[in-house]
Amino acid sequence: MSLQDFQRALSDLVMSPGLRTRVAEAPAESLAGYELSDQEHRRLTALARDPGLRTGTIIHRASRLAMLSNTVPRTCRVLGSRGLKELVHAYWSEHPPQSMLYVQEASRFADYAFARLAAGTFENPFLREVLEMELGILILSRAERAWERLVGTEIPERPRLHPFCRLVAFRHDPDAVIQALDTGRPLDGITAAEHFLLLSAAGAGRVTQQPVKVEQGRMLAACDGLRAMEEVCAVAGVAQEVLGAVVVAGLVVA
Amino acid sequence: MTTDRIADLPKLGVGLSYQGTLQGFVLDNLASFDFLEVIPDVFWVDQGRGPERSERYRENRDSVAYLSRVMEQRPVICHSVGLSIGSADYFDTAHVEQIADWQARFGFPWHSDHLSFNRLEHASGHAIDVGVTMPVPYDEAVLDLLCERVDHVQATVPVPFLLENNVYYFSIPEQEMGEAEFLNRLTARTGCGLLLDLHNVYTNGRNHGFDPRELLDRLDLTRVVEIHLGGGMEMDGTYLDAHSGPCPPEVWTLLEEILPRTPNVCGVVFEMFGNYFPSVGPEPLRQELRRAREILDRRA
Repeated sequence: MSLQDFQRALSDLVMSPGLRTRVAEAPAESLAGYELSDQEHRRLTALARDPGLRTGTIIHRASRLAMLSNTVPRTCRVLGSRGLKELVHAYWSEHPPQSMLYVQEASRFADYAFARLAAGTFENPFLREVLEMELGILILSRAERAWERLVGTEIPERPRLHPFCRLVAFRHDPDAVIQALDTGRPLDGITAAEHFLLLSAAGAGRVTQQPVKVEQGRMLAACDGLRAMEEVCAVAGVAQEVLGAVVVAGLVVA
Repeated sequence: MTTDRIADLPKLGVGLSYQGTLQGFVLDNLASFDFLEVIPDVFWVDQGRGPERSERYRENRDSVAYLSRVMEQRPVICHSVGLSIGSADYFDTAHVEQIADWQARFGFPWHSDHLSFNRLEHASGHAIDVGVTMPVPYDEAVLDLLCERVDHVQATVPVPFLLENNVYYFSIPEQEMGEAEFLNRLTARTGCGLLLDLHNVYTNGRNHGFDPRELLDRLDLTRVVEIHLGGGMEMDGTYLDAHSGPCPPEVWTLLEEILPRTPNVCGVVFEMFGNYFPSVGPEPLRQELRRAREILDRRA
């Protein structure tokens, strides 16, 4: 147990400059939560003052940032270096690492970013749609099989989007946003308008993306598996035939 | 494993450490290296402990197909980052079995990992990766723990296993033995080989104020099967093992000095992180490989 707690405390010292300061100032109190031998206690107290720990923090943060830059690179570009720095530092300070799995880390970061956007404590008009799209691609790329059109034309009682599909609501033209991000052009000139992008698992790690009409997008967005079909049509403001068409297309299931 | 098994390994020559951005370079420059060293962990997605192993490791088919294509022309060696052999709280036997599977499929003559820990159970109950090759204390108890695990790896994967000496930016106080003694006792007790990263030794010496030769002179160099070279950079007064470009002249000198004393060396690998390749470019990379080959040829 002792070596295990020593490694846990040492890792915490690397990940948290704040803990280093606390241990340097009040070691007994700050290390009380770890089961340590006297020697381990002395080692950690000395290490808290070692400038090499700061290098460890930099490498740890670079590694954690790489989890995002590898999984949601366009989101990082949407944020820009200042926005990214502000958001990830706040995220890291409130959320210590919980997973070594890239998808889980990206999902957790997305939850944090969406909460900040909803609370109005962080603003970026393109962040939600780009992050939702990248997260959707990430998750569907790991789907166990490709989306397949199911046989059947009956409208389910409580329709929901096919589990191997994801719908992303855009407030700008997705093609224009993606092109601008991929070519390094500014996003400022892209005018706001309602768009929907449908993502579907294509197997072997691939994901297809296709724009869908606004009417159909609203319909698919309303298919949450909770609403009855009449309610879906009412919420989306479309006729039942539109729902019938997406059922035939295999995009919604019971 | 015995010394004889190390001595019988094929002398592969100069190796290139594979990175995703080097895909094109590898196929266009096959003559510039004798074998490719890959980090197997980047060819699969580890879904995390819990599910069956076949479910846990999802291979990237395109990357594995690329690897198979390279293997038609050059041997491939696996250098993993996923074992975290020094973690006190768990030993990932499924990872070892995955390496054994790959050895059966790809036939690499030896494999390696790092003498450090980077994964642990966090207080939150989740497994985390610190993202840093954290040093283990050079103590008797840690030596016992590592020997047991190395024995397990060697019993599971039927080819020699090497451990890489660590780069460390902070040194754990009051250790019971020095790095050389720890490594010598580990290799002597288990029969495992050593992957001697000369740039790590150089980095540690530079940051902690010792002459790398002090360590190399005390190390049992007959256990060295593979040598790593790389470049680094200075940041805020600390020299980083950043794998960011050409190898420093001092590291080349160390290579020339120790090669006559390392009779079992089978490969010298140059490492550079893929994100630096676009700015460094292909010719400097070819130069580093050429220089390694010239030094190896002189020894021969």
